Amino acid sequence: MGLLLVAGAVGGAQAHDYSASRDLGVLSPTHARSGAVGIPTDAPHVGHRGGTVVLDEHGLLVAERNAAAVIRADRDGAPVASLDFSGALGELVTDGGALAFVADRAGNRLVRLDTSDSGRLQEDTSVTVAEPYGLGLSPNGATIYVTSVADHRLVAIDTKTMKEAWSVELRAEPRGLAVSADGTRATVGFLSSGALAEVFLDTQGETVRWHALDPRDHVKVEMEFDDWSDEKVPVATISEARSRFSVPTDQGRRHARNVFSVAYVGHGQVVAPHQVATPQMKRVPSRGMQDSYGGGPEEVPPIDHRLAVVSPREAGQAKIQVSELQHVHQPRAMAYDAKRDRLYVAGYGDDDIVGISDVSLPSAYSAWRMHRRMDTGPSACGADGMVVDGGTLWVHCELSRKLIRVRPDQLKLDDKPWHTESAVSVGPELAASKRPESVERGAELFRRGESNQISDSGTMACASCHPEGRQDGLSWRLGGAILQTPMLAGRVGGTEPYKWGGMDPTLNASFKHTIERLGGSSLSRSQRDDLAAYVQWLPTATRPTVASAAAVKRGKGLFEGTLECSNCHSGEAMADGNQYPFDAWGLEETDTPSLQGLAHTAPYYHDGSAVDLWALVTDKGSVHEMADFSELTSAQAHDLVAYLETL
Amino acid sequence: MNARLLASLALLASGCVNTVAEAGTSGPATQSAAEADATATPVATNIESATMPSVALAAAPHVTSMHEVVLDRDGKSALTLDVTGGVRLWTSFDADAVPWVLPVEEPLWMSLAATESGFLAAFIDTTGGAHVARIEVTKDGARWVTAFDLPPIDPMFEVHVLGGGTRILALGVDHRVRLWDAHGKVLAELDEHGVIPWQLRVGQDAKGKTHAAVVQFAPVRMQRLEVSDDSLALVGEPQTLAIDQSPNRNDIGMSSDGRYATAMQKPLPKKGRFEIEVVDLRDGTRRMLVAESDTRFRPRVHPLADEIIAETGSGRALRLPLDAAVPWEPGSDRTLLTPVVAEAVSYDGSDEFSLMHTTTSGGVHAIAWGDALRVQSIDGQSRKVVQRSSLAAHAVGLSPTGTTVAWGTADEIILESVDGTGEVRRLAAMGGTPRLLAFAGDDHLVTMNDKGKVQLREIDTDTVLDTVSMPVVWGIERTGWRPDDTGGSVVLASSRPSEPLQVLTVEAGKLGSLQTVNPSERTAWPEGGKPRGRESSDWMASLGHELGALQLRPVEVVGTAPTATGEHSVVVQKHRSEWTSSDVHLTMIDTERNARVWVRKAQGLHDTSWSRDGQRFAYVDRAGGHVCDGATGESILDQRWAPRVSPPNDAP
Repeated sequence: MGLLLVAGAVGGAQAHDYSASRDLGVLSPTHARSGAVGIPTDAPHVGHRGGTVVLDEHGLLVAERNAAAVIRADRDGAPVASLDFSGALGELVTDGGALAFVADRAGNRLVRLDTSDSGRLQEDTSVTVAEPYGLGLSPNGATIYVTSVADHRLVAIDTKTMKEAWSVELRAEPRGLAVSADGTRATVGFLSSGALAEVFLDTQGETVRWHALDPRDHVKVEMEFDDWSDEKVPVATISEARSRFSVPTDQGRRHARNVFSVAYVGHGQVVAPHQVATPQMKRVPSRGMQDSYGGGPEEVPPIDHRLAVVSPREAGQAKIQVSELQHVHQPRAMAYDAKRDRLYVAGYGDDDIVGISDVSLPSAYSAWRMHRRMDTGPSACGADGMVVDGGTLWVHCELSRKLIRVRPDQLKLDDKPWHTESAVSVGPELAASKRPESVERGAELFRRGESNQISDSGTMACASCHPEGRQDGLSWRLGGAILQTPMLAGRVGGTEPYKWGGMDPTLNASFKHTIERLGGSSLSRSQRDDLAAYVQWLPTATRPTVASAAAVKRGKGLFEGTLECSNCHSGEAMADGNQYPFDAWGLEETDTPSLQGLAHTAPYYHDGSAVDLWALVTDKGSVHEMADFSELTSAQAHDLVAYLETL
Repeated sequence: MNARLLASLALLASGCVNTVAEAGTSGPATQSAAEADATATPVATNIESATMPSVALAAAPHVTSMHEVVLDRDGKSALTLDVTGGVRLWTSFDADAVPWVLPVEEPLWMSLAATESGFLAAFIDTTGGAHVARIEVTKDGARWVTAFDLPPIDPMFEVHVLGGGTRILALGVDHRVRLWDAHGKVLAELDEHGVIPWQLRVGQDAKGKTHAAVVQFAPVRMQRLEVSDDSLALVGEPQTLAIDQSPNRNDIGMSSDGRYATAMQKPLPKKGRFEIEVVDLRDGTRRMLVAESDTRFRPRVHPLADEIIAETGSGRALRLPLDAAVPWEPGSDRTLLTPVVAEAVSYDGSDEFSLMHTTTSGGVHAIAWGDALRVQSIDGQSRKVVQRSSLAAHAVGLSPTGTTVAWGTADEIILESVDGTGEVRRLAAMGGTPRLLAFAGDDHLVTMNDKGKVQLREIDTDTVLDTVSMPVVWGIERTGWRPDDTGGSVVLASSRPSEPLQVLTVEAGKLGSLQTVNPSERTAWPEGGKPRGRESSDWMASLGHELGALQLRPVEVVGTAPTATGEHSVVVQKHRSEWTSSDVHLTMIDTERNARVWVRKAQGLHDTSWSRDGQRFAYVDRAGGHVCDGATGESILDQRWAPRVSPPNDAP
């Protein structure tokens, strides 16, 4: 049986390829990607999705997250006007004319901006949305759709009255969204799930279809004799799923994660850049390194990056084709040039950009790539947004807070890095960061992909598994144990020791240990201090809106009373810094984890064995000695869950 | 629970098998629908309640190798899965059966039941989301109608459509067992403190009654689960099972009548001896069956009501009667037990590779492996095989109005109706590898083989009317066909770059004169392809096309295929710049507007053909034969397999 997937099949200058990873059979040809052969004419409308940089009639609008400001910039990337906010921002969106909105993430508001004056920015009005992030406008601009990170919802808001029309609960960690050209659907991406939600807007969210991006292929490692050493060496291969009757072996399921942004392209198709994690491949430790992070030593890295092209059908599952984005680390920013049917995708982790032509067609190909020497330190980019207008592409750099203007027509696929400079101009800093310098340096290290200092071959960055300092919802094989990725944001200040077993007494030591596991050549002490400054700066996850204060109160009573949870989960961080000898294989003792932001960190327990909080409080996880839930009534269990979700 | 076991258990969630249980009466864990509603469990089901979306289904075989099959309870229909994740529904296992293509991608789980009006099928996608659909099959076609979906926020391990398709039994990743009706309404739920089911076993007895059991681990144990119309209840005591490998769906089984659990051990990897402990789920009575396999492979175990079928990987299966099991006390010395003498039965296609991909239900054994689906009675006496051979066509021709396509293979010429009548006719081979196949009007075919031998053939009588050999130097680089009112012209480009194009006219029912095209006039015959070594942009410019204006990718143009009127043309380009790549793009351009109209991708392109009216375009490549709409490029016929010849009208 053959190898199925794109991994390893794409190489050389053709960084992008569409291999037959999925069935290309005949089915509803109008909608199946294999039948979407006509040159697309259904361009998405302006404002169908938001971003950190958008284009309107006066120039560019930029969400400067680290400066907590919206900046008006001219087409050369120079700042013209500024509007300050209290903290972190989500996305901006505009209809290209007078309508513009910004997600005031820290302020829990969706803000309508007055952008009519090219030299001034002004807040018009706002509406409360719990931690808004992704934005998208309906084709007529009458409704704006917003993802609420805190409430796990998609919220529809009337743009005139700025009143909520309806909302629908999706799942944890929603981020970018896009609205279809006919205004009937919105598609939402998530950080800790391998599914996209396709919300049918005319049903006001009553109908939601989910499209699975996780590949079915399993990964296995076999030992083969090496001609050179005459010893057995591990060889990783991707193969189709084993029989459901076979004895399970240590093989890696693969999971799609970190869908920061989605977009509609031609033929009503959705594109979603993401990463694929292989967290539990068979452990093959070397003599010097007794544990490692998932993945494999050969063809299958623990993390790779892909683009999914999703072709929804009238019914049933969408047709999805994936391609590997070999040269883009942590793809987040996208821009779609409908006229050329070309999609630009940029890597937040390495600042590389690829241009994929005919992206709506089965014949998609890499037409263009901008590979700059990755800057580190203060001049590093951290591409988090892009917008394209004809022959000009603007790239927004989160870290340097600058706009890079690119002329794609002056670049070719085979251009060497230094050839790209003539087609590229970098604008001035748009605003000063409000973060301390050490935090800025730490943020740059945290996102840095392709760095041998951090991981073996630069495959993984800290942000790969901890996007925004949060978590990927996966449990990784680490040494002898399977351990869940913990949330960092809001949980690392004063919660030493670190790691699930509590073996690292300080953050600095924990980073050193993690980088050893990742196979990195190590960071200097000062770099680790910068990382520590960054992760300690990360804001605590916003609590969801409370549905029933009474239930929360009763749940708190259980938590602090009968169940005595607060004996260990105590203090501001809800962790006592102690370790306990639970029956957790691979761990002699388990460190009490902080419970901050618990609603956003499913699954639960050190091994992710409780799929949700209900499974946890009904004792369906792997840890049974932590608390005695056996006497809880169903109502009490619900109360306890209600309280835990508010932490 | 340790992490290794946990990992194994998580992996286990990606597959399953059928089984059954006898109805019991007592048990502590019943939860009614009303109670389930009242608890308002926190996991949202998000059931679609608006008008259910539906889509018409096409019929087509798998495009790649099959490797999984799931039968309905009666063994009369099946779902199959191929290695690229495509799913098909088989409503018949007759030799000419063509399955329905389902809008499902890479399911981790499949389940099927026949209903009064068709089928109910359930799937779990790669994120754990469940998809349940009605499949309505009539004489006019088939339709997929979504019944309900469950989001991945409530991920599933297993979904079993129970017999008759009115109930669905499901096991969630949260270890809750739920019973739904066919519309997704939760009728009952099993959510007991401390009960952590990792798997289910579901089946039916000879009377069609459903039986089920839950499997828990650490230690491995099985307990009966009573399933009625609207309730679930654990019955009796959990029975521990001793196995010698990580828990899996083969070694832990349940008899189809739900009375017994089976636990297989194979103590010596290089020996054929294996032992199956048979545990009565009602009272815990234990017996043991020991047998000797004719291979060293771990047997595939199918526990039925009164016997256990143990496939050995040699193509044979042992039929082990449960009556032969001897009383057994845990801890006793297994080595003292003597293997039973068992009757053997042969199953086609069962070998060491396919062994763990076989299944049984409704008295039949099934295996979907490679390009064959084999369904055999348990006793091996009755056998049905659906197997297709690939369409290895190297040349293609479309009739003047595109209603008939001719596929040219080394062994024959196949004429196939494109308009859905399914009519197929075979003509004699042209001898050698086909290089050209063209309709000269409705009644004649022009063929050319790899030696340059051109034949004019009357279709009705399959008679060769005329033969001419065209000069071939170093082999054939490209062939082409230009139809006209009286017949047309065959164009041949030899592989030697300096060799001029040759043109052979066909008119009035005979082959005409052979002409050599002056190199300076070669652009008048674009059917001959781009001369080797010539720059793509130059060549296209000489034809009046500009690569950039057409937004064609900057890779080599192999050739063009113009329509008879020249209003449209298909530009063939290599997909990659590497010379080793055989993937090409077929871009249809409007030559007057100088604009692209559609693009298709082909793998290892052999030949192309336009219908004379320009309404349809056909090509053959490594993936088979394809006919598409000339204006939109959308598929009309994708033929990966050699079409079967239609029986004559008077056939019995």
